[in-house]
Amino acid sequence: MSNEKYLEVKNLTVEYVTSEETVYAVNDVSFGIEKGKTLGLVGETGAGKTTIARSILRILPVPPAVVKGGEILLNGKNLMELPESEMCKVRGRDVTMIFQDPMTALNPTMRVGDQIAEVILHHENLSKKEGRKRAEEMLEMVGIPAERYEEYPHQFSGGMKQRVVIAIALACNPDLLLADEPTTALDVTIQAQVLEMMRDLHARKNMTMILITHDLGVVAEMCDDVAIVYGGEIVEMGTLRDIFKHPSHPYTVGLFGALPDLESDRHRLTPIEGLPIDPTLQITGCKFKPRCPYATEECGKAAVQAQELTPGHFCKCLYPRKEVR
Amino acid sequence: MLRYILKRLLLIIPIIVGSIILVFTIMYFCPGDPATMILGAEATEEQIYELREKMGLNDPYIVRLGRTLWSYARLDLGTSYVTGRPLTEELALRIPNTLRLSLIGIVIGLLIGIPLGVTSAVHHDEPIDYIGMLIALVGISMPGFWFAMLMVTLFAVKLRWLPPFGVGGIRYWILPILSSCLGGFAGNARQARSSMLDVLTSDYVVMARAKGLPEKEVIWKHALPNAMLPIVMMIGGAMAMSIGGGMIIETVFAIPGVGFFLADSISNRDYIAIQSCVVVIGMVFTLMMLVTDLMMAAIDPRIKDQFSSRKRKKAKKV
Ligand SMILES: Nc1ncnc2c1ncn2[C@@H]1O[C@H](COP(=O)(O)OP(=O)(O)OP(=O)(O)O)[C@@H](O)[C@H]1O
Ligand SMILES: [Mg+2]
Repeated sequence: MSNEKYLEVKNLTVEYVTSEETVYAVNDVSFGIEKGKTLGLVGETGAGKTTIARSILRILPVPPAVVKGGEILLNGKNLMELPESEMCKVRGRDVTMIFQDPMTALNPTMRVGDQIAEVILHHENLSKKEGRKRAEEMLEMVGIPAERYEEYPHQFSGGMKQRVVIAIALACNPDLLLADEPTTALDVTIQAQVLEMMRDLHARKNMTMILITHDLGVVAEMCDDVAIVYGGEIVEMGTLRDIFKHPSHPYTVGLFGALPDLESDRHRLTPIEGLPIDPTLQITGCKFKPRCPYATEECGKAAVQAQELTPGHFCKCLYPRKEVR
Repeated sequence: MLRYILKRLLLIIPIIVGSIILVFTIMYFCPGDPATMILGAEATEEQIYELREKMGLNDPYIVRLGRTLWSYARLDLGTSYVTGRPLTEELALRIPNTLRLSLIGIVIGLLIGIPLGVTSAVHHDEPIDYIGMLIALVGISMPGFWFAMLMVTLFAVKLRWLPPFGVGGIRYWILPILSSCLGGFAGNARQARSSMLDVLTSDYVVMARAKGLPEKEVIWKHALPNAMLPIVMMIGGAMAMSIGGGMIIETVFAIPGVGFFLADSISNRDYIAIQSCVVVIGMVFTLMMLVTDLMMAAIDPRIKDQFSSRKRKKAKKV
C-alpha cells in the first residue's frame, strides 16, 4: 500500500518463551493505518491481539516475551530502535493504550485522580495544581464527578474504572490510541455510552485508533479498516466494506456465520467447528486448515502468502470465498 | 480511624486477661512447689505448709486466679520468689533494653532487606539476583545465636574492636543488633523479592509503564507500595521472632532484657517471674500487631476503608 501510513507494523513476530514451552503468539504480522482512521483488530481469544498492541508500545512482559523481529514505524520512525528514554516520551503522550481489564489496570493504592494527573504531569510542564485541574476535567469528560478525584479504585464500579482507564489514555491527547477491548468488561448500556464517547473524541481530535474486539457489531460501528487475526497471523485485511460485504477467508466467513443475521432470512447459527489452534505448535501451511471446510492437501504444504483480491483487500487463503453478503 | 484505634486498644484487655489466665493455669498444673524452692530441700513439712499458707498457695485455684488478676489490674506483677524484689520494677528496668534490641533490629532488617529483595526482583534471573538470594539464604539458614557467637569470636575476642558482652555505649549494642536483625533481614529480602515479582507483572504496573514513566518511578511509586503489604504483614511475626530470638541473643551478650530475665527465671524456677515475663511479652506482641494493622491501613486504602465509618462512602457511590 502507499507510504502515507501513520502507523506501519512490518513483519512483527513475538514469542513467549518459558522453560516448559514456547508460545508463538504473533507470527509475521504486517499492517498499516492512515492518520485519523480506525483499524479494527478482530479475532478469538488467544489470537494475539493484546500482544500486538503491547508490542507497539514495547510494554511486553520480558521475560517471557521475545520480539523475534519486525519494525514498528510511527510517522516513519522505527519505535523498535528507539532508546528507552525516547520511548518513555512516546508512551502516554503520542501513543496510549486502554487496557483490556479495568479491574486490574488501576493501582489500588493510589488515588484515582492522581493516576490521571500523573501522566499529565509527566508529559507536560505543568504545576501540581494545574495537573490536578486537568485531571478533574478529564474525569468530568468521561462522566465522573470531579469530587471523586480523591477516591481509590476499589470505591469505583467496573464501568467507572474503565472510564478512568480511558481518561488516562486520553489525558495527553494521543495521536494513536490502542483500545484493547475497551468495552468487553462493561454491560451493554454502558458499552454503548463508552463507544459513543470514544467516537466523539476520535472525531474531535483526529486521533488514529486501533480497536481490538471480538464484537463485529462494534467493528461495524467504529472502524474504517478491519484486520482479522487468527493464530497470531492476520488472515484477512481490508476496508470495513471489503470485510463485511466480501468476507473471503473461510475463517472470516465463519465469524459472520457465528453471528445471527437479522436482515436476511438466514437465522441459523453456523458456529466455526473445532477449537482454536494450539499456539505452542509450529505449523507449516494454513493454521485454519484443521477447522476449514474447504481445505485441501495443498493448504498444509507451505506457508500461504497473502494475495490482494481487490486493491487493499488482502487474504491469506488459497481458495478465497467469493460470495457477497 | 481514631475510633478504630480505641476499639482495638480496648480489645487488648480481654486478650491480656486471657493470656494471664492461660499462663496462670499452666503454671498451676506444673509440677514443683515454690515454697519448697525457697526453703530448700531440708525444710520440714510444717515450715513448707506455713509458707504456702502465707503465700496463699493453699487457696483454691479460682481464688488464686482472682487474686492474680486483681494484682495485675493494679499493675502489680508480684514479688520474685528468688530476689524478693517487686517484678514490676524488675521488668520496667528490662523492657527498654529488649525493645531497643528488637525494634532497632527490625528496622535495620527492613532497611537492608527490602532494597535487597527489590533489587533481586528487578534483576530477576540475573547474577545480582542470585547473589542477593544467596546472601538471604545464608542469613535465613544461620541461627542467630551461632552468628552471634561467631561475631563475638571475631570482633570481640580476636580483633578486640568491640566489647564481647554487657551494656554501655553504642559499641556494646553493635554485635547484638547485628545478630538480631540477621533473620529479619533475610526473611524480608525473600518476601520482598517474591511479592515484588508478583506485582511487577500486574496490569497496573504495565499501565504505569504505558504512561511513559521511567522504570525507577514505576518500581518505587507503583510496584513497591503494593509489594509492601505482605512485607508489613510479616512484621508482626518478625517481632515475635525477634523477641523469642532475643532471649538467646540477650543471654549470649548478657544484656539485661526481658528475654534474659525469663531464661534466668526458668532456670531458677521463679514461677511468678516467668508468668510476668510471658504476660509482658504477650502485651508487647499485641501492641505490635496493632501497629502492624495500622501500617497496613496506611498503605492500603481498602483496609483503611474497613476501619473508618462505612456509611459515608457507600452513600457517595453512584
Ligand atoms: N505472559 C505470557 N506468558 C506466556 N504466554 C502468554 C503471555 N501472554 C499471552 N500469552 C499467550 O500468547 C497468546 C496470545 O495472547 P494475547 O493476550 O495476545 O491474546 P488476545 O488475542 O489478546 O486474547 P483475548 O481476546 O483473550 O484478550 C495466547 O496463546 C496466550 O496464552
Ligand atoms: Mg487480549
